[in-house]
Amino acid sequence: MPASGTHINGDQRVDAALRVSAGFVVSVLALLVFLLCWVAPVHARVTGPCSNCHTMHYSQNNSILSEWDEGGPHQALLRTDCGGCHTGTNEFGGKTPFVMSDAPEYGESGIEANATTLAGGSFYWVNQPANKAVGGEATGHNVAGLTTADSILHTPPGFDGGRAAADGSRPGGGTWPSGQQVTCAGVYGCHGTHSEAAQTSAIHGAHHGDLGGARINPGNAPAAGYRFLVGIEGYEDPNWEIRPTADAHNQYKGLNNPGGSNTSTISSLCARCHGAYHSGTGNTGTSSPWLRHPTDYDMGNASSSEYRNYGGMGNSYNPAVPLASETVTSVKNKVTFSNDTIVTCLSCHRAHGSKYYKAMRWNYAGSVNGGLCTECHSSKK
Amino acid sequence: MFKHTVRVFIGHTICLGVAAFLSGITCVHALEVNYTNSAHGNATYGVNRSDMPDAYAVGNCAHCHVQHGSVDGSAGAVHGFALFSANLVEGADITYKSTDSVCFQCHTTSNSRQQGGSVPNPDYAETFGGFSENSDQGVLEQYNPDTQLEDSYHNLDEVRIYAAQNFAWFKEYTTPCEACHNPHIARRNKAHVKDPTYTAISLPSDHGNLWGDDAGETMARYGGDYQAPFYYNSTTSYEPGGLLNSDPSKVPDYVTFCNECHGSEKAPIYSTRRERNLVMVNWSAAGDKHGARGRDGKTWLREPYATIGGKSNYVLSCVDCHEPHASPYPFLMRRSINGQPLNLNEPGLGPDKRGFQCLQCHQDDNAMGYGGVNDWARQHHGLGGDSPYSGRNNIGPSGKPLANCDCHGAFEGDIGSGKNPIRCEICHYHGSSVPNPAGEWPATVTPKNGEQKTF
Repeated sequence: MPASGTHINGDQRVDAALRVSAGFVVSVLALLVFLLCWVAPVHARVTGPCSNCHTMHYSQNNSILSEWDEGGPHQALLRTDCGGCHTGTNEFGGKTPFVMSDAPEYGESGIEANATTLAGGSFYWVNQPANKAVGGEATGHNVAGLTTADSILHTPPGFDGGRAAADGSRPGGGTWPSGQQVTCAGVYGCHGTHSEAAQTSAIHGAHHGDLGGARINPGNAPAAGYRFLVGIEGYEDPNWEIRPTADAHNQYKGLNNPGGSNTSTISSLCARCHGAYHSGTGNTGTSSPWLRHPTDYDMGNASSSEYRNYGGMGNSYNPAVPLASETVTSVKNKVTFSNDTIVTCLSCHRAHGSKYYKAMRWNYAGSVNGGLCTECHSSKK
Repeated sequence: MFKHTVRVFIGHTICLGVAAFLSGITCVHALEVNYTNSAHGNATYGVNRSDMPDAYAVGNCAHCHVQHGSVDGSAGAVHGFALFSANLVEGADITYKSTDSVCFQCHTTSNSRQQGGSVPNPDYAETFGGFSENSDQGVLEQYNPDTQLEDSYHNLDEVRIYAAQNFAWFKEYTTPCEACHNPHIARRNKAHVKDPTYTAISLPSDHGNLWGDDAGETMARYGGDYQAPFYYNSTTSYEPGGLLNSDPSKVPDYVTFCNECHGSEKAPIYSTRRERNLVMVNWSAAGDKHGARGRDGKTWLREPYATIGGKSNYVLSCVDCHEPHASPYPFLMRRSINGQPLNLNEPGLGPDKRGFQCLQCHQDDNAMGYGGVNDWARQHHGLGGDSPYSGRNNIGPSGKPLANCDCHGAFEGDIGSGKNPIRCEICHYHGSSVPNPAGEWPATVTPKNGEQKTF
C-alpha cells in the first residue's frame, strides 16, 4: 500500500497486478507440489499390490517364492503368517510395524533417539539368554511361533477364567490349558476376537479396514478397535510410537474406575488374561491401601501427593511412563490430573516385550529404586 | 582508582576462594532424604529377600512390594500396599510371630527373609549405650524376651489403632512400625550411632521427612540442658556410641518425637496391658522435672549429673531411660541406664524394681554410704532440707505423725510395713505430684503441698 498522497500511474498498476498474479500462481503451485509430495504420516490400512500379502495358489512355477513363508499355504491366501510380515527393522516413517527383529535398539526405556522398537516393544529378547534383569524368557509374551514357551509360567499369571471382550468372547473360552502358548490373535491371542480359532479369521477385515487415529466406540469389529483389539478405544500414533515425544504418542484409554468392568480401556484388554491383577473382590482393592498395584485409577484422586510431580515442572506427558485418559480424541502433551493421569498396565509394561525382566518399560528389577517408578512415586527416588 | 578497584576485586576473589575452600573442608552436607539413601534402599545392604529371583537388585521395591501379588506366577495372599506379608495381624499381642508383621519377616535373627537369614537390630541400650550383655539382637526377639521378668513393648496393635485415629496419612492397615519409621527414608543408624543424619525415625506428623537429621531436631535445641548419660561401663565417655564429650547435637530430639503421641496435650492412649490410659507426659517448664521444669530443692545425683555446678535443671531424653521398641523390664525400662546395667534378673533384689532404674542417676542409700542398694531411706528421711519426710510433724495417711511409719504398707503391692520400701512409682511417675490428685494422700503429708515435687 503506497503512502498516503503518493500518485500511482497505469503502468505501475499493471506491474503490481502482474506481481500479485505471479505470486498467487507460485503459491498455488507450491501448495500443489506440497500436497502431491507430502506423505501423510498415517499408516493405517494396508496399501500396495495384493501380491505384497497374498498369493492365489501358493505356487509359482510349481514351487514357492523365496519371500513366501515355507509353512504355507495360509488362510486368506496370505504369503506368510503374522510373524512373517511383522519381522523386520523399524525406522521412522516405516510402513509396517515390526514386532520382531534381529537385535533391535531399545535404549533405556524404548523412547530414545536410536530406538527401533515401537509401542509394544519387541519379542526379540524373549529368545535371548537371561542376564539378571536383561533378556530371557521373562522379558515378554511367549508367543507361539515367535518365541520359546515359558518354562515357569504355563498359564497366564493372574488368569481367573478369562474376562470377556466387548464381543463377549473370552480367552480360551474361559479356560487356559496348561502349556498353551499365547498367540497373536484368536482364542489365545490379544488381537481380534477370541471366538475364532484361526488367527486370520480372528482379525478378519482388520488390515483392510484399519483407519488409524482416534478409535472411539469401536463396536466389535477388529478393524475398528485400537490396534485390532476388539472393543478397545485409543488414539493411534501414526508412527506406532517409534521414538515418541510428549507431542507424538499413543493416547491410551483409561477410566477412573478401579475394579470396574468396562471393556474399552487398554487395561481391560490385559485383564482378559490377567484378571486377578485388574479387579475383583480381594484382588486389587478399590482404594488405598491397594492389595495389588491398581490400574484404571486416576492419580488425580490423590491430591497433594507425590504423583503430582509426574512429568516434572509443567507436568508434561512422559511417553516412557504413559498414562491413559478418559478421552482419546487426540494426543495430550500435558497432564492435568483430571481423568488424564490414569494408571494402566502399559504404564509399566510393554505389551509385546522389552529387554527387561517382566517386559518392563525400564530396568525395574535391576535398579534399586525401581527406575522410572519414581516418575509417579516421586518421593521414593 | 582503577588500581584500587583491581586490588579490591583481587582481594574479594581471594577471600571468596579461601572461604569456598574452607567450607568445602568443614561443611558437613547431610544426605538428601530419599529412598536410595535409606537403609532399605541401599544397593549393598538394602532389602534383599532370599526367595526372590536373582533378577532383582538389592534394594529393589519388589523385595517388599509384590506389585501383582505374584512372583513367577506363584500367587500367595495379597496384602495392603502390595506387601509380601501382612502389615499386622489384627490383635497380635503377647507373643509376636514373624508372620504378624511384614517388618518382623526380616527384622529378626531367626529365619529372617533377608538374604543371610538374620537382621540384627540390638536395642537402644546396646546400639547407642554399649551394653551388649544378654541382649536380644533382633527386634522380633526383643518383643518376645526369653525371661521371666515383666516385659513390656510398644503394643503394635494399639499403635496401629492410635495412629489411624490421629494421623491422616496412616491408613487402616499401614504397618504400625511406620508410625515411627518411614521405611522409604529411614537410615541405618545402627551403623552410624554418632551421626544423627543417619536417623531412622520420622515424626508421625511429618512422615515424609526424617527426624533428627537437621539442626534444630536434636537435643541441642534444649540450650545445653541436655547431658548425655555415660556410655556402658565408663565414666569418661558418653552416649551415643561412646563420645568423649557429651554432645547434645548427636542425639535426635526424642522428647519431641515421643511426645507426638505421649504428650500431655495429645489424645489419650489406652493400654490393654495396664487396663487404663497411659500417663501422658508434659516435658515443658510447666511439667516434669526430668523435663524442662526447674529444680526446687536439692537432689542427690550421681555422675555425670552431680558435678556440674549452677545447673538449675537437666532435660532428659526419653531414650536415656526407655527403650523405644521393647524391654524385658516393665515400662520399657532400658536394660542399662547411665552406663550401668539394671541387673533386675538377679535374685533377691526385692519387689521395688523401679528403684533400680532410679538409682542409675539418683543416689540410693548404698551410694550415700548409708545402707543397701535400692534403699531410699536417707533420701526421704535422713537429710533434712529437701528430704521431704524428715520432719516428725508431717502426717501420714492414718492422720498420725510420720513416726508411725504408716505410709509403709499402705499401698497396693507393698510388702509389709516398717522399713519395707514403698514402691517408687507410688509417688514418682510422669506428671505425679503430692498430694496425689486421686486423693490417696492427705494434703498434710508433705511439706511441699500441691507442688509437682516428685518427678
